[in-house]
Amino acid sequence: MAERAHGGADENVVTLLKEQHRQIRELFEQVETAEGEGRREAFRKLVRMLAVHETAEEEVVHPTARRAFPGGDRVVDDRLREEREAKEVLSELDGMDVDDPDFMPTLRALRDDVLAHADSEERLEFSRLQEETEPRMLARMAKAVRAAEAVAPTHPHPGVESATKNLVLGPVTALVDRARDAVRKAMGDRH
Amino acid sequence: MSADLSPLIAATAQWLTRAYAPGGGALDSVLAGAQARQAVTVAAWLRYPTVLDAGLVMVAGPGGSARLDWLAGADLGETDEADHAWRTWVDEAVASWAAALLSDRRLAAAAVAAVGDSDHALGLPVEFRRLTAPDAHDGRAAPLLRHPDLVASLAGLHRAELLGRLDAGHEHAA
Repeated sequence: MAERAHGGADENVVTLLKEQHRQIRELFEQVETAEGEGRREAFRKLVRMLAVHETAEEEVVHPTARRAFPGGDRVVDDRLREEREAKEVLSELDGMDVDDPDFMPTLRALRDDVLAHADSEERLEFSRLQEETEPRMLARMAKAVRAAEAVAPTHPHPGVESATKNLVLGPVTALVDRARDAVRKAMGDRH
Repeated sequence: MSADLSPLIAATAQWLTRAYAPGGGALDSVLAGAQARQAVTVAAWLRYPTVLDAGLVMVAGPGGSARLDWLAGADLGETDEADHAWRTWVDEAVASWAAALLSDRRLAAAAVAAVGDSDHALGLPVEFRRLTAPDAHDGRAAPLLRHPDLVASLAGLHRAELLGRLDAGHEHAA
């Protein structure tokens, strides 16, 4: 059975990123096959996925890859150049309506660039990263990528039941500061 | 990058990008969101530097966006449950610190240097390039969020504490 991204404590960042590459490929297909408003919505999802994924890679994965193996710097610089080039095309597309006659040819050019870039990342960067990095660190990187990609909660903080209470609890940060100072003092007293 | 603070970080970044509307398209919106999220991450790591600090704020609650909404002049009226829910996770001081970092490149560099060995980084050499060295696309995507005059009142709310924290870290390292 193929290994899948699962979000557990022992998750591997390479598995997670490859799964996201697969989702990106699927989103390109959705934009190509949908029409009208459906295409517009699929394109918005694709843009979000691409930007969030690249930002997390740049923040968490590339810095470690640079240090993980000989030539890592050059491999990462090449990937960043590909990302910049793809972003130029993405920006051009973002300014067009999905019904524009140039939209689909430009989208296909972007798809080819993005998929070639993802393939280079998997072959030249992720495989070496996986070989040279302890599983414990690959798991931490997966946790960091998930944190960087987190969306705002859809449930209220458990201590807040109503909008009115939210207003009343405004100065709660001061409470946290006081609690922290008290704990620090208690811990400091033991030293 | 402790996942423990991620609801606070995601909600506070969302508040910033809604209060300071990004440029026009889908790409601008997501690039502005990425810059806000990096600024809020660095601000939250500075504000709650240890796992203990993070644990406390997540139990007590970050306070919510009520005062920020009032200061921003947002008349939310009767908000629905979904809109109310994420706003309870917004942290006023972290939003203020993040606004200060987004509008001052030197302060952003100092803050990123100060969180380099944070517990929250999990021992990884993380980089916040969109915050510290935004490219032309990033700048166009978040013109309001990075405008010192427009974020001045928010950044000013807790600026003294931010500068104090950065100074204390600097003295500690020296």
